[in-house]
Amino acid sequence: MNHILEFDSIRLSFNGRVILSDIYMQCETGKITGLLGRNGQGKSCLFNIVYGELTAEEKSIRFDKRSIPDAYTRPDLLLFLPQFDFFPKSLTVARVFDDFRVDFATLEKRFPEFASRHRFKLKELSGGQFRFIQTYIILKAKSQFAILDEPFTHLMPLQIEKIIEVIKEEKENKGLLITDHLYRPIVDLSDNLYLLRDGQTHRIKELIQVEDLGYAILSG
Amino acid sequence: MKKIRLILLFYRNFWFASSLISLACLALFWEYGYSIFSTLFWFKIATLFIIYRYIGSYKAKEFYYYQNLGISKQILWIATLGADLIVYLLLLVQVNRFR
Repeated sequence: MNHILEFDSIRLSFNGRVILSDIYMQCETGKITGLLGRNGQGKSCLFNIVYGELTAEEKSIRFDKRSIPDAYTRPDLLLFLPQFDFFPKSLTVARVFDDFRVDFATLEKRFPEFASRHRFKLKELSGGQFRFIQTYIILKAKSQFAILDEPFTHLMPLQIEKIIEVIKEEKENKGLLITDHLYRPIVDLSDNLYLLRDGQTHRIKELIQVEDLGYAILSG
Repeated sequence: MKKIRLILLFYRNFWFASSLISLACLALFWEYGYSIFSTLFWFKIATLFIIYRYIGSYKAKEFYYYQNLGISKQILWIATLGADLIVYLLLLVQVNRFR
């Protein structure tokens, strides 16, 4: 059965400056929904509002037509990878896999660079490995939807390729909502693409719109 | 069980500082008795408030870890600060019995 996450009527302003005003996005399980937007347009704010972490003046967040304003209380519905590292660094790799009920052996088998790393503390990993593990766990943990805010940050190109593989694979199990400044993979991965500009979301039907809206030159 | 394990993990962030404060207060209570109970009680509340503000800011990013595992900030704070205060009060009662 397909599930739908949709949100609209979101209004956010800081000190009188309107950040978000005319938003509509819909995500489905089995699909990747990409969000593009320049720095400071409010992408992370929007994701935090959907997750329930940031309070908006108005908002409507619905899972299968049912309003759930505090999605952070329902990890079975929505998981969130923020743009910064958030796993406690004092924990071991084994502990975080255990907490999220994700199989470490599968990761180890598939990505040999993590072989016998399960006893390592997270602070002993490189920045890229640390980010990779957080993203991998959020992708693999059981949930209907996952928001990935800049999943490619701190990753080297080879790791980005690997995480893209996992994203494609996990698309079969959940709905993914992704944003990143590395926009080409987002454009390539997305089944549905939106662009956030001046507080409004624009549904991208033709790639030329991305250029017309002044975000990037894709034809080069 | 998993939730308790996560709450204990969060409590690890400040149990040492909080226990030191409690021990100092218990020592003072042993010395001066009920005459300073009210002062010690409010002192403990004040230090818990400082811990709440400091950890809330210093560990702000880590709250996403607990939330992704189904434990909200409210649950973390109520469980840890509540348990810490209850243990403190129980220890004060015990000190009073033996002094």
